[in-house]
Amino acid sequence: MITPHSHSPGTKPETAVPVTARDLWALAGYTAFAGVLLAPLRHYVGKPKQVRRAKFKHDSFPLSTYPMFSTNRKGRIIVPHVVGLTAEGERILLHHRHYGTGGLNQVRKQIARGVRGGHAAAIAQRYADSLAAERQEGRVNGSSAGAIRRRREAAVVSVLVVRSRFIFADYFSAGEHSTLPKEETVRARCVVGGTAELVEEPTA
Amino acid sequence: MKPLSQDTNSLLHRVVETLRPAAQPVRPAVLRLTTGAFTIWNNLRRRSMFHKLNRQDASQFDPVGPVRVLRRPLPPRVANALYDAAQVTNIVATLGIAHRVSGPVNAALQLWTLSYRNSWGMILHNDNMALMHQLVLGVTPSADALSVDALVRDKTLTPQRFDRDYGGIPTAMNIATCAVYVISGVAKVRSPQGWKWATGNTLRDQIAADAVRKEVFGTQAPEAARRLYNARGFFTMAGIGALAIELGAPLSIVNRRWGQVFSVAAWSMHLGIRYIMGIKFPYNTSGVSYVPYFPVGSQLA
Repeated sequence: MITPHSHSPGTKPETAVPVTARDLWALAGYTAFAGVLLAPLRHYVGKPKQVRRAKFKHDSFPLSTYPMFSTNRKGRIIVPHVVGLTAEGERILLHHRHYGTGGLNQVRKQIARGVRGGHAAAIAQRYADSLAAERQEGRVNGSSAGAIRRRREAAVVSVLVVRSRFIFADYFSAGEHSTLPKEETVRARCVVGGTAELVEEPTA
Repeated sequence: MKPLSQDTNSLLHRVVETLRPAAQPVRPAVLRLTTGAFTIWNNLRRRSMFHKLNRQDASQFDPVGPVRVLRRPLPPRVANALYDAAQVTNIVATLGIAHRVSGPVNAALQLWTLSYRNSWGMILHNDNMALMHQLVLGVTPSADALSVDALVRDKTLTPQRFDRDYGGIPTAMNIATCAVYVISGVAKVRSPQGWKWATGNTLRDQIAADAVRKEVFGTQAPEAARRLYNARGFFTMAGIGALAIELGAPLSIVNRRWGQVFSVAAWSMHLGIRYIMGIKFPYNTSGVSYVPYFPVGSQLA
């Protein structure tokens, strides 16, 4: 593009390029662009309680409030998720792919929303059906990450949708690595190959 | 166009020289190629995931951004076709073929498909910066060199001319970069901990929360998260560093050297996040997001 104040062709001109009205318009454009991009900052104005709500409520794409890394967790977390149980009662942490696609965080959000909305049985059913389907497919041989996961999950006979409370200091304490929660409530269960049912019972 | 100021020492002249130096078309062309190549790779490797997402149940649909015009998801075939069209236009725009048309069309399609990807209940934050850069490159003369257009029009890949429009494109991209960091920084100091966020406690808890989530959803948490959890001093240093980088980002626009220092610091921060949390911000860890801070080609002083 050759503009009215372009210098063409070849070598550098000896004089400096003058500032024109076009440059002023461009500066105004940068300012407007920055204003649009920084617009989500308005959700950080107000009382702390308002901000805490607004930054998540108004997070969007592509204009985001980028609320990650700003939650005060006070050393603990509550996570709705799904565990598998073997015939011997061993707990197996099931892969998020049994529920859906889009990655761990996408599935985590969808499960949290589902449990909150009273759909825990549907979540349990989906996991159980996925495990049953994988069992039919086989594909447990080999050293791929998928094959290793399927071997680990092959012994699961039932799944529980749980809401677990973890205390970081305990979880990350020195010694044997344990993934057990401090407290847990079962919201739904389903036998692999069976039908899910809603429940509400503490397990720990 | 009539000059407004011939005084090279005036504040206006210095501001314009900093933000819009008269540069050669190769400067934005390199940015078009690097950002374009990165996004072509990054989107194509996720194609099957995007297509699977498009088949999800309508109950999971929670539209954001421009996708809010929809009340229910598009038929998967239509959503997939739009996604695939966006990849084709991305290749065409990156090669600089009819860029005056393909650039804006690509920008619009990228905006749509990435917003659609974030409309399934979880807003991710790793595509924002690349998308902003694509929007800038799509609507500016970023294909006047190293492009098919340049070959056809100027019979050369590197036309020898200077224009402030070319020098202003990296600035616009860097404004987008800064906005992401500044908002992230404000989010932290406006968190319940306020400026005490710099002590690193919130960051430490976030890393712990992330590790717990990874494990309970059947994946492996990075070993570093477990190893570092009790290293409070490390998190204080990381907290101070993160705030300095994020809130100091605007300085990167006013001075080229500061911009380069900022980009190295921000890149290091993302590598640290990758190592400790296993969270990939591929556009940042690849370094492509910071290329506009390292302008190529000569400019008029």
